[in-house]
Amino acid sequence: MLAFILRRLIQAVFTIFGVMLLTFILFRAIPGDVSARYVNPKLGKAARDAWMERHRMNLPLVLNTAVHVQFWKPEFWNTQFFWHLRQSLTFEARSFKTDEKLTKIVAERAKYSLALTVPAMALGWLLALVVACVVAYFRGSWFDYLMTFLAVLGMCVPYLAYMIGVQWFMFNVKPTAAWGLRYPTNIYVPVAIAVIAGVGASVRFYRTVILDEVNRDYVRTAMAKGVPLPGVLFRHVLRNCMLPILTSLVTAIPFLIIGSLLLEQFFGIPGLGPLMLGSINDRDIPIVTNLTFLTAALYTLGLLLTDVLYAVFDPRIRLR
Amino acid sequence: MSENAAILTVRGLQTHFFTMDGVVKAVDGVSFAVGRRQTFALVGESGCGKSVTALSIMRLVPHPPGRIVAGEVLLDGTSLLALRERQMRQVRGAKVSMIFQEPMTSLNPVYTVGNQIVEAIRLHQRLPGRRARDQAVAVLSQVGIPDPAQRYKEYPHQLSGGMRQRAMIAMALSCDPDLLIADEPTTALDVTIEAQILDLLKRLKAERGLTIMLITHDLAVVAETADVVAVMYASKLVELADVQALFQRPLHPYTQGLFRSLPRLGQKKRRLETIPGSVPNPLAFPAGCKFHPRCLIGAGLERCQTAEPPLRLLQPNHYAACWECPGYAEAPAGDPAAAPIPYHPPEQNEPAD
Repeated sequence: MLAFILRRLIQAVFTIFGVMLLTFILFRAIPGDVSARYVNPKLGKAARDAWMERHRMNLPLVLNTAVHVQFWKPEFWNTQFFWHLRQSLTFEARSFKTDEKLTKIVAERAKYSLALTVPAMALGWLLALVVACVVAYFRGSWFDYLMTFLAVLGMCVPYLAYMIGVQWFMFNVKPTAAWGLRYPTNIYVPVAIAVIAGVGASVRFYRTVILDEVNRDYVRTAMAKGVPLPGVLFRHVLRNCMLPILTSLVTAIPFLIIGSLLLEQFFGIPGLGPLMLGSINDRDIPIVTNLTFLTAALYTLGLLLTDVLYAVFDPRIRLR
Repeated sequence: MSENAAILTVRGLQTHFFTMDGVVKAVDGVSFAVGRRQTFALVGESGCGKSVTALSIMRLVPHPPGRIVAGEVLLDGTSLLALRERQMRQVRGAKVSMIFQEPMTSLNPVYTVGNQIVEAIRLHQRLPGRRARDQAVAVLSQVGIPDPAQRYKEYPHQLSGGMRQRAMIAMALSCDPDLLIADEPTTALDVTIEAQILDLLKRLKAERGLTIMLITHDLAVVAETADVVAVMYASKLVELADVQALFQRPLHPYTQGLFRSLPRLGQKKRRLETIPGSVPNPLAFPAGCKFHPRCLIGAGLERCQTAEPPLRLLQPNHYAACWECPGYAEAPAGDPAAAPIPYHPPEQNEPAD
């Protein structure tokens, strides 16, 4: 078990390094002069050079091939990519735009994102699970068909339609503040939208997973022992379904951190979503690469955690 | 208690499945009575409705599409079909238990054997955790599991097939039920383990005064364990008698065909006989006697093709449903659910060692 975790951690280091490199290269592949956004061209070449120097933009991109293949020399590694990497790992990265420390910006904004995404995910997950369990058990009944219909309907309506619809309602029918963070409605309205928009797909997925289990022999055994229905569903069936359900939860982690870009944008919530969008527009490389870094790291660790949880939930799985 | 009292009475049971393609009459008017401390065997080919009969008694027919449309199931005089679901849950596992064919999949893979037995115990008896645990270990050792305290902590995948079936039996018996329904309990096991499990069932029956309803397609298992045998074909009983009468003088052509298809010691035959044809499609049973297209006697007879023979009492305690059985025309209808067929296993049959 310990050896497994260690091995996976080492793999994770390589994965995250790869993600960082790719993000950096992709971002620098966009044509145009980054400094043009931050230094007024009228100030002349000296000012631009000073800015470039300060943000190490004058260094080679990834590897300093000017010194050929002498990789043992420090100059070989003295490049933009490795400078950014070092800044990230020492939590020294600063925004191009505001020159604030990234740790401070993220800490401040993450709480708004989490206030939106944590309740949305928890509620959505719980609701989807309970509905899926009941629907899967009563498969083929009118209740199943009704719920499946509603789930598909919920999936078909685009996210944007919910947001525009709700904002129209809040603006025209029942005037409510729908922007910023001054009123509590501004957090639970978007939470409700996230739950409703996401629950349909989850119900459909969980229903399929649970249906695979509901017909198993051990379910019949449990019924024959006299276990009541909730016990059969939540004690016997659900634990056997945990593997795919956990996996689906972990894949939602980026949403948890980066937040729902559109939701935060629409409802004026100053979370990480608008920060990411704004930074892409501003070509604020440190922010974009570090947010990507954060997401990738959490995602990789999340996957590791699921593997460990697999072994916890299913005694047949041994981690080696 | 009278020797002849029925513990289980099934009368006119009809269980139908309402599928897209039509109504499948999986059980169509089955009546029988099981005497206390008897082993009652329900024999038939796959798909003849024997498992659905058992599930109907437990009221575990998957619904939808299945539903018990008619009939009566009496357990010790209590009508099970009239109970509320809550009351029925108190019957399941406590008064009637069931074990299944596949011990590999019938136990929940993610809980320990002990955990699953304790769950059954605590559902029906108010016991503190420690005592429930002790009771579970005790019942594990009663079913012949070596080192029960260790097995208690193990998961089903750590046990062999035979051990799993023993664990299933332990779980079924943990609340001391009166009736054990065993649905093909040995089909998935190899022959040596099968013999052990059958011996175990016999021993438990003797020790605990258990009544066993054994569902099987294996006539050897029937000969080994049963007291009374009901032969089922295409959703109905075609013959019902005690095991001696049935094995010595089967009356129904289907039962006769089953016996003819068994290999016999000392008989040199190049091929085993079979019953021609195959089990009819339950969505389109043949008219008349459902067995007539495969029957050696009735295939060409008009009455067999047009009218279905009901079960009649041909000999004392021997029912059969066939127009061509000698004496069928004069035989009284009888009521197979009225009283169990008495049977006292002859002691002298056991070879003395």
